[in-house]
Amino acid sequence: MSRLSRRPGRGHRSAAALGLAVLGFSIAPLYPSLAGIRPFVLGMPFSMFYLCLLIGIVFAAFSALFLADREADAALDREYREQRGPRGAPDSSPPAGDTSD
Amino acid sequence: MDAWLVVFLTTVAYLLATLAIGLFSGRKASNTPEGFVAGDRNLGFLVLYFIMGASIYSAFAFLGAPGWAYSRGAAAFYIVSYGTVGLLPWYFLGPRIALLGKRFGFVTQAEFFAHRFESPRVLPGLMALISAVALVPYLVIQMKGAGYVFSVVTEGRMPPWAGAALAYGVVLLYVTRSGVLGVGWTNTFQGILMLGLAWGLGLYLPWKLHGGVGPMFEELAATVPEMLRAPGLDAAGEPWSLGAYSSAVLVSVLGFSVWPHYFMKIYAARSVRTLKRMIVFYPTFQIFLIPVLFIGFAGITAYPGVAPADTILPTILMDLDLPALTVGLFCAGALAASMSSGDAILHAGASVLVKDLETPLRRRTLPPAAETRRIRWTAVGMGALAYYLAIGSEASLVGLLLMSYGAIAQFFPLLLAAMFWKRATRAGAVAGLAAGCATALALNLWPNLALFEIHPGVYGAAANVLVLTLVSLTTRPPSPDRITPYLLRSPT
Repeated sequence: MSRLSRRPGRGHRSAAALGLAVLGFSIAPLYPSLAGIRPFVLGMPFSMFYLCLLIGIVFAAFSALFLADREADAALDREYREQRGPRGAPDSSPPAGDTSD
Repeated sequence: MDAWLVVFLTTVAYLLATLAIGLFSGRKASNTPEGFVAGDRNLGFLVLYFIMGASIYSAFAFLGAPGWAYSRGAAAFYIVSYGTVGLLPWYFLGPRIALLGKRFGFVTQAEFFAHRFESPRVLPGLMALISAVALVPYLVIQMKGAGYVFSVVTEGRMPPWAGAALAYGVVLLYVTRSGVLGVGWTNTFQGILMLGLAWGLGLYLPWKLHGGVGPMFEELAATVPEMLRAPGLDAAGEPWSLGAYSSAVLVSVLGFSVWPHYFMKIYAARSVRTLKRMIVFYPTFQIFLIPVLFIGFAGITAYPGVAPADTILPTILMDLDLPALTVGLFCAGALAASMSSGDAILHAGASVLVKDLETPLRRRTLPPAAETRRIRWTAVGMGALAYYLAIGSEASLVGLLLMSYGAIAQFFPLLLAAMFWKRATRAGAVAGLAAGCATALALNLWPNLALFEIHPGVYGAAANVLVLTLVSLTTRPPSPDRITPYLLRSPT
C-alpha cells in the first residue's frame, strides 16, 4: 500500500479544487448570473454553450493531470498487478475475519 | 411493405444483433462471481468507457431529456451539468478502491463498506435494500421507455407491455448468460449506435424544422425566451426556482459516483491507468446530450401540445414522413438507450441482492458457481418485478429518477468518511445512512417541508453527515489495522 498511502500531490489538489469550482459555476448563484441567453455561440444560447465550455475545461484539466500522473500510475499498476486476492488467487468471497454485527 | 413493418423489422434486427453480441461476449469469463460481476477484473478502456457512458445514457437521456427540453426548456441543462463533474471523485478515490477490491476480492460496492466499517451484515444489508429500492424504479424507467418506443413506431399495433417484454427478454438472456462482459460489449455497440443517432437527429431535426440550430434558438429567444433562460421552467410551466435547479444538480453529483452499477465497474478495470483514462474521457460523453436537447427544443414551436412530453422525439419522427429505415434506426437507438442502462442495472441489482443481502444473512459461503447461479436467477426475479411495475405505473420518467438519486446520494458521505476520516465507525455509518435515507424519504412524501424547494436528497445528506459525525464520535473507534489501507491520508 506504500504508493497509495502517499499524500496527494499539488496537481491532485488543484484538480479537485477545479472540479469543485466547476460544480460551483454550474449552480446558483453563479450559473444563472453568468449565463444569459445572449450572446449566441455556435448557434447555441450562451446558457447552453457555457456548459459545453465547462465540459471542455474539465476534460483539458484532467487530461493534463492524467499525463502528469503517468509515472506514478505505472507504480500503482505494478502494485495492482501484484495483488493476488484474499486467498492468493482471484476470489470473490467476502473477506474472512468479520464476525461483528 | 408497410412502413411500420420496415421500422419494426429494423428494430428486431437490432435486437438480434445485440443478443448475438451479448451471448458471444461472455464465453471467456470464469463461472464465478468475480467473472460474472467484475469480468475477472480485465475490462479495457473502450468497453469501460462505453459501459459507463451507455449505462448512464438511458431511456431517460434519449426520451426524457428531449421531453424536458421540450416542456421545461433550460431546466434540462441540469442533466449536462451533473455529468460533467459527477465522476471526478473516482479519479482520486478509484485507484485505491480498485486495489482494495482486488486484494480483498470485492465485487460489489457494499463489500467495500462492510469491510472498512467492520460490518459484515447490517451495513451491506441496508445498502442492498436501498440499492434495490433505487435501482428498481430506474429499471422501470428503462422498461417504460422501451414500451413507448415500440408502441409509437408500430402506430399502436404493439402495446407497451409487449414492447417492454420483447426488449427485456433479450436483455435477460444476455445478462444471465454473459454477466458484465455481455453488458460491456453490448453497451459498446449500443453506445456507438446512440452517439451516431443523437448527432444525426440532433442536427437534422433543427435544420428540417427551423433551418438550423442557430435559427431555431433565435426563434425561441424571440418567442419563448423563458425556455432558454437558466434555470428554465418547473413541471407546472412556471419558472423553476434556483434552489430546486441547483439542488437537483447537487444531489445528482452526490449520487453519480456511488450508484452501485457504476461503482462496481471500478473493480472491473484492467488497471489503474485504464480506470483513470476512462474517467478523464468520461465528460466527452456529455457532449452527446447536447444534440439530444436540440431535438426537444426543435419541437417547442413546431409541435406544441405533445403529451406526455417524453414522446416528443418519436412524435416528430413519425410526423416527418422520414424513410422507414431511418425511423427504424431511431427506434433501435432509443431501445439501445433503454437496454444499455437496463442491463447494467439488472446485472448490478441482482449481484448486490445476492452478495450483500442474501449471502451475509445465510452466514455460509456458497461455492462460486452456485453463487453465480443465484445471481442469475435473482436477475430474472428482479426483471419480472420491474416489468410488473412498468406496466402498471404512470409516474414521470425523470421524477422517478430524481427520487432514486435522493436515496443513492446517501452513500456518498459514507464513501468520504471511509476514505478520509479515521474516526468514522460502524455505528456512525449505519446511523448516518439510516438518518439520511429517512430524511430524504420523509421530504419526498411531504415536499412542503423542504425549504426553498431544495431536493430532499440534499437535506438527507446533511442529516447523514450530522448523525454519522455525532455517532462516530461517541462510539468506539475502529481498529487502526482495519482502516489504514482505506485512508487516503495516513493516520496522524
